[in-house]
Amino acid sequence: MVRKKHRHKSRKSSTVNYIVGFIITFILAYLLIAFIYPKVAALFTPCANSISCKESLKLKIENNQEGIFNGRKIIAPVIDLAQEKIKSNILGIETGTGEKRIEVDLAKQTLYAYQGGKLVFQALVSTGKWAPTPVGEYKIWVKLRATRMTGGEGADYYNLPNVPYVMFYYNDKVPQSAGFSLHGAYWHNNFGHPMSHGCVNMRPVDAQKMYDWVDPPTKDPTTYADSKNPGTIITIYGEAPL
Amino acid sequence: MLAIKNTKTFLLIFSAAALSFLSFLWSDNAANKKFLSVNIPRYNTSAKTIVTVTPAPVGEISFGTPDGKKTLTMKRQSDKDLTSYSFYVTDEAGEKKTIFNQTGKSSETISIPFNAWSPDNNHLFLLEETAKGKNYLVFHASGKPFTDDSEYVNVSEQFKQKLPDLTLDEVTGWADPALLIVNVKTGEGVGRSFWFDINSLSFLPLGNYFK
Repeated sequence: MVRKKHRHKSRKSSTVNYIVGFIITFILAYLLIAFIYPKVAALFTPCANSISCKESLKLKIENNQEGIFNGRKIIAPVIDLAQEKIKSNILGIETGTGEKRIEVDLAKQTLYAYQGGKLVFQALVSTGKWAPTPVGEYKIWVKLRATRMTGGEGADYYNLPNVPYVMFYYNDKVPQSAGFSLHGAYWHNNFGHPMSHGCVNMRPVDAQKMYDWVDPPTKDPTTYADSKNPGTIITIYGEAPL
Repeated sequence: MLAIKNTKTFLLIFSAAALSFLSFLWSDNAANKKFLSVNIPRYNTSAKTIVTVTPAPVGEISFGTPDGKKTLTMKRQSDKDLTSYSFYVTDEAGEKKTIFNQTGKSSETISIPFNAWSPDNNHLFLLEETAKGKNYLVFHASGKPFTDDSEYVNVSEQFKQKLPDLTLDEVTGWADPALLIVNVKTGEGVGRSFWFDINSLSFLPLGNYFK
């Protein structure tokens, strides 16, 4: 009788131990996965520009160069930094004070810029056609006046110098090295329809307005965000037309 | 006995880890969906209208190139049943060049599509809407005629001649300085895209549909 009771007690405590052990293991494993998963996922995020990739993250101003897009040559715009000045009334209206943020609606192919909760600018854009523009909340980490972007293959190969007004963004799933950005596009004019390889294309005149307006404030042709001048938040959402 | 205990321990750790991984994935996806579904402003106004129309006197609309270097201006005057349209291009130096003038029934309209300008600023297209349908008209930005001395190329007419079995749906914009993107519908109602080459006046079928 005593033996039976003892065995019963022993089995009960063993079961409790297993349950407690399961719960503790579950919690620890969850925390470990929550820490590791974004870092691993970021390693597998493809570059926005499959060939130039990290090279596109550096300022490159190359005048009198020809680009290639859709298997055809295209003349890149000339950039003369000495002629350029940052305007004080950047968007042409009084934007006031307050936090700046950008939203990109993939379904409407539209970018909205807000300051202090007020819509201050909107424009049609072209997001990913040959590769999707990833959704999520991002921060701008660097602005480049221009760079070269290269990628694709075969009929889809592109090599574009002097891509203007580039604003690179990132988050924990889309690392800086993947090179996703808002930027001007001089090689097509089909805004309102997906056309890119993942980046958010804008008319150059619209990209210039955003480049001058977003944080960090432009100081040089390359401007990094830092703790004192953090980058503007960009939220990308919705589903682009297939 | 020891083997059974080890097996049980292994199963406990494995199942806890697997369940936590699945829970993390589910909560991660759910968090993204919840985040993206709230606080998104809804506007009734068309983005195209807000972005492209420059405040101007009644009957006049100006529309800039994507790089801001040239401006296309449309002047419209209505008189009873007739409407006159006049289009001219102004460059950075302020020089004006007349592109096109037309007077027609007021029920027939001409408008400037959002992606009217070619990316190199050398061409533009307009949309004419008549009782018979839409005409997409391509012009040199310099105002010069095309090689056969016609003022413009009518993409819709070219389409009817060369692709009579298809229905032209919309010309959306420029894939490059000489290629217009033309969306069509097949007889089965399926959407397809073509390039229209304004130099060779030919339609090139595309593998992608530029919806």
